[in-house]
Amino acid sequence: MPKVIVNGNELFYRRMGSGDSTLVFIHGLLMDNLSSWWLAVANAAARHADTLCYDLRGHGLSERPPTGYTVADGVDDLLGLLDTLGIEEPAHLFGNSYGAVVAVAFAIAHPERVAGMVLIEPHVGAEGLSDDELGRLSAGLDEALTGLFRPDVKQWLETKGGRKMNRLVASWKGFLTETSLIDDLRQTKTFSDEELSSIKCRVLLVFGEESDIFERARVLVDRIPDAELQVWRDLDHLVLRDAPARVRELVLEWVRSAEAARIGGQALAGH
Amino acid sequence: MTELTDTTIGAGPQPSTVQEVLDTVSSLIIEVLGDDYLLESPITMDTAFEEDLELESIEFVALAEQVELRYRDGIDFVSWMGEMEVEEIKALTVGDLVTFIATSLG
Repeated sequence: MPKVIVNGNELFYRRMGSGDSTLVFIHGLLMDNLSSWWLAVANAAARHADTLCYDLRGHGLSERPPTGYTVADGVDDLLGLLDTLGIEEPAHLFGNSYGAVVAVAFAIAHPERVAGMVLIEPHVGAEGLSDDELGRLSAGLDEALTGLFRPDVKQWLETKGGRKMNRLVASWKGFLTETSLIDDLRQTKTFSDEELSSIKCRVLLVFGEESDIFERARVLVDRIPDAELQVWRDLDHLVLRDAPARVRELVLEWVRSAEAARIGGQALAGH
Repeated sequence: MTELTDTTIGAGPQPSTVQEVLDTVSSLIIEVLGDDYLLESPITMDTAFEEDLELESIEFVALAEQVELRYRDGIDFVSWMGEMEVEEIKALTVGDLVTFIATSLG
């Protein structure tokens, strides 16, 4: 099992393929793990680039410590993982939902390590968003926690849930009740205009037209200097789950474009 | 009935190889599932990963890794996965995986 110890915790990762560009895929919160990127995109991308996907701490097959679930912890883990695996050149980050928050925070803290970012439905808190909007993430977690303990949900799980669903729910319950996840995420700070405008790499934002966090799209595209926004029709927050083939095409196109820019840069440098 | 030629025989895996690969894959599945594997029915070529074994996606990733470690350069698992849509991967049976491996091994 490919695992490395980063900041005292074992992190599960898959590194595949080879190429001049390095791609790092970061998954979403709680119910997610590296398999969503692995299934939809990473294997196809690995035919063209050095490709890394990993389980955030507490998720998937990574270790679940009782504490340490702030965005800053996520940034430290990513830095530690890249260092441990010897990835020193700037990498392209692909973040889904909460994974995009980690990517943005990482790019602000370590700009020299990031070549570009594709952010799918980034759950990023920024100045200018309404209070309702900013509270949505922790409210969602509270709701999930309450829902998992409802008697009807319990009964459904016992009678119809099956092995897989019962295992998943047990894991989510443990995550929400036995770790500092919710408290840590409540402290998630809002990124300042200054921080967002300090991001110099190319950024592609993808939002579902029906997304409940769509308010973020305009704020982010206004603040991040080299950002482009794509709004995909007939999709909500679950863009990666519901349009995996389209996300894969987008990533492959991104890699082609990065390669062309790199070769162009080399040609210019040679003259 | 079409007469088998050397080419068609050479193109597919030998039955003995298929059985060996099935045995290996079955043991890897049991390893990945650990205590959760319930021996209600044996693993066959028709067993579906998601529907029958209720394998979680992350467990399939773990299984993929075990398969790659076991067969190393004999198979190109990443390219095989890379050509499939998510729904196709989720509908895979043990037989699909075994056939892929056995065919790759020749």
